[in-house]
Amino acid sequence: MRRKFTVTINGIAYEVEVEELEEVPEGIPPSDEPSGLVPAVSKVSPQPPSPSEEALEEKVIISAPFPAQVLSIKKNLGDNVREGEVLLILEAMKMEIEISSPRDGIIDEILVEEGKRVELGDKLLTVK
Amino acid sequence: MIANKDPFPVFEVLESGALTTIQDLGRFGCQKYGVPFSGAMDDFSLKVANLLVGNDSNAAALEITGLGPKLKVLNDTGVALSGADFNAALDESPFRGWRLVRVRKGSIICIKEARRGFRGYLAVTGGIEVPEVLGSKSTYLTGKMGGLDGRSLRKGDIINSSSPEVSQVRMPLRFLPEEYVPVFSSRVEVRIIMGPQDDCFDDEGIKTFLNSWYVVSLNSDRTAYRLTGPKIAHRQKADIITDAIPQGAIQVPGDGQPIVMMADRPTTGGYAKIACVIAPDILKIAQLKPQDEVRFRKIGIDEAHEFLKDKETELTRIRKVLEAQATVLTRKKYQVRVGDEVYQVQVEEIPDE
Repeated sequence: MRRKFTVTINGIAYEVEVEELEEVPEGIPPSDEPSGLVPAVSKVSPQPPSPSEEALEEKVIISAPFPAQVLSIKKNLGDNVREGEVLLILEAMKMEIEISSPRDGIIDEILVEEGKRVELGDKLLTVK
Repeated sequence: MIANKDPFPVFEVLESGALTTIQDLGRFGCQKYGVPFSGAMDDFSLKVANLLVGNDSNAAALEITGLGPKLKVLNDTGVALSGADFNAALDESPFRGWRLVRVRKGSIICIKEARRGFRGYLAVTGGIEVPEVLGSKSTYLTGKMGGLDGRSLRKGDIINSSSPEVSQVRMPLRFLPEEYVPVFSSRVEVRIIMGPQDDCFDDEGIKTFLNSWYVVSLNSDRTAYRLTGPKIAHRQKADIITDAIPQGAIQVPGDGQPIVMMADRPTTGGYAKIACVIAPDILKIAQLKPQDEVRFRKIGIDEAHEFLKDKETELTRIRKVLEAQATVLTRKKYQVRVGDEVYQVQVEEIPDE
């Protein structure tokens, strides 16, 4: 397959035709941006390190996405929660905003009360 | 792209976000029957998102509020996120706004909190397919009409696009150049024209209105932004003979606290309107969240027309810029070292004619 490129080297533009001489292996991982380049020049990104045991012990802080009022708290201290489970509901601008857990874990701290006003970035609870 | 009336599923809603609705540019020509206008709160961002995915600027998209949804992609397609700057991810990588992004079946789009601004738009190639109600796909929440059954999105909803599968081969690179990307602030000055009932206020009232910062209240929504701040004094009373409410009208009821009327506003009202926000500045209000601040600056109607013209010209220019980009498939920059020589290399792929 022959493809056309404009290649600018140190400010000088060249019209270039590129022909692939070897078959490209199947199963190139998809990227979020259309990649027109052949794998020979594409950068191989290192695999993200797998979370260690210690990392899993770490707390995740869940904070208010914008000023709101705490409508109801759905979980108690020490409850087991699954990723995506609703932890508490905020109310602002006539919207009820479900705040869900970003991961599996245990409710470690509850830092707000029902009916209380919270500001942008206020800590609501932590999951570990 | 061929139009296809068969529903083409693009997203499954895994988490709804704070308030995610389907909006186009609004329900034209129905206010005389008492049907509110609705439509995107920030029309500029909706138009650009649509242009980025190759749609008509009026196509329906998702309007996202403050905290975005989590969506599973059901078919390969193109999407673009515009408006507020959201903390967002496409699978494991950051999902950047103001550009066409190709998404694949099975991918997860996770839009979290807005870092700057408050409302975003997620457009999809072909536009979101829902039945038109009175000529529009916009959701009017209070009236429970339009969009998806007249309501905001819920977990488990399936969102369809009106376009068949996008060719997987290659899609043009398309992004809004930095100089056109609006930067939203939490403290804004908004331009207004006075009236039509500014004569209901005494000089002191007008002075207070024009010289004070007002804070966005928690009970603002798509209908109106309620502001709190120094009390605006009326000459006598706040009531007028009910008349029409345009987009951006600033009503002042008896408590002297201004209310900016937005997309889902009722068509008429009986409070005196001290002023009206000019059309190109409506989005500045729409992008405010609770506790943000706004101040009003008086301009003349001729000036207001000029600013509107400028905004339209800007959009025409953006359209041209995006069309020109369609001739480049990818653009990448490399630093290449050959022996001791270092070369700055930019590679653009041009589609075959």
